[in-house]
Amino acid sequence: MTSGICVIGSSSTLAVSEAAKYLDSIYCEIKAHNDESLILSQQKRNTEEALIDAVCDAVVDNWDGYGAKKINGKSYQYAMLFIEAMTPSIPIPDVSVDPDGEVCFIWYSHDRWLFSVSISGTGRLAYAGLFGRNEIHGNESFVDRIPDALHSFIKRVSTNSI
Amino acid sequence: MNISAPFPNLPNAPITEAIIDIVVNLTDDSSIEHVKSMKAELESDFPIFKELTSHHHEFKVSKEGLVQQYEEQSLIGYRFQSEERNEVVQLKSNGFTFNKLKPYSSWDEIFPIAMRLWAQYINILSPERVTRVATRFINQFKIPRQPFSNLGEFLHKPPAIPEAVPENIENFFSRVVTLDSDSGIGVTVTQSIRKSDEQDFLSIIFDIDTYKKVDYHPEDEAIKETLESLHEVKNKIFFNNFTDTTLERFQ
Repeated sequence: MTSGICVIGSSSTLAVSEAAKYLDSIYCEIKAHNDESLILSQQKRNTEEALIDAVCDAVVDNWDGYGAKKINGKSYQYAMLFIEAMTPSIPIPDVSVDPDGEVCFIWYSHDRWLFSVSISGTGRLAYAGLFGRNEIHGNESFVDRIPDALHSFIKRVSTNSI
Repeated sequence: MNISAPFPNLPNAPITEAIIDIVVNLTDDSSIEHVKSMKAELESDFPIFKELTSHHHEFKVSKEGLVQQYEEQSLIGYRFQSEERNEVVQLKSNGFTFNKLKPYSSWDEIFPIAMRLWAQYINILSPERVTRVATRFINQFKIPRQPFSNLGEFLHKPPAIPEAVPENIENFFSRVVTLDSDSGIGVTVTQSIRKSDEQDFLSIIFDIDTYKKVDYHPEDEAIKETLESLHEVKNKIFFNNFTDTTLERFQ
């Protein structure tokens, strides 16, 4: 498992030069230094642990007894990048593996208030949300940061309370 | 200070790597292996060829110990490199990247090369859509190694040293990520110092990454126009962040 390893470089446009590799190494050192702080990294640690728990249960086909596919390795890698990109304002989601083998994050407030994001092996984010009587769904590409639209939907669910 | 276009061409530009990057969604019918057919066509200019692969290793551990291991390696693209090792083109399942390593010539020279290769890429793979375009310019230049506290000799916005902290800077790393909500252009500027191979010198690195999320057809002229815009944004940042003394060194 890749927990604790820096998977994002200093910039989202990947480069090959020695200067770029130096910047990536310094950036990773800084991130690792921040992760040593429980306060700064607790949200991400908790989400990573939830992801690992979900993935460990889904390592073989038919892991659920109903024909579910085993975890899609690339979906898992993108899920780790997604967690890395999570800002402190994003609450810890529930994490599961869908029957198609893709990782799914769900934020839930109460009945009929939830938002989910499934991550494909190509980094495509398929999202769906239920906000009372309103429903939304769509797709976004994940490169290095969580799209602003998804930020706002997550906030909408997490700030709604009865 | 606000320098604007037209910007001068610098004969000794400190660019150590220039990148043009286009992210795509392929159709289900596309296979990255089709790119291998470009090998013969590219061989004369880019004879050094390498497969790009991703590796995935999983294991499950229980109280009894290691229960199951699973390892997968998959092809994600190909890398073609020129013999002089200063041009690289990477053709991948999620996009196209052209890297120009030093010595840098000019945008007017490298942009047509990148676009010609991009045309070959979309001809072979027929991507469904373009979702992101970016340019990234990593600048690196030497400064005399000496105890100094005033990087303002070289940069208009050097790192601020907090109060009561010793002023001789040994190292710094600064990364700023911004987004212009009107144009949708994102910018990541990374600054750092690193040791040079030469004992009496340090290197300043000034890295400008400009990018935009888009939704274009692969043959849309807007791709070129957007890359040109990103390049202009980069120029504005570059020329407004180095002191006149520093810019003169690049003439």
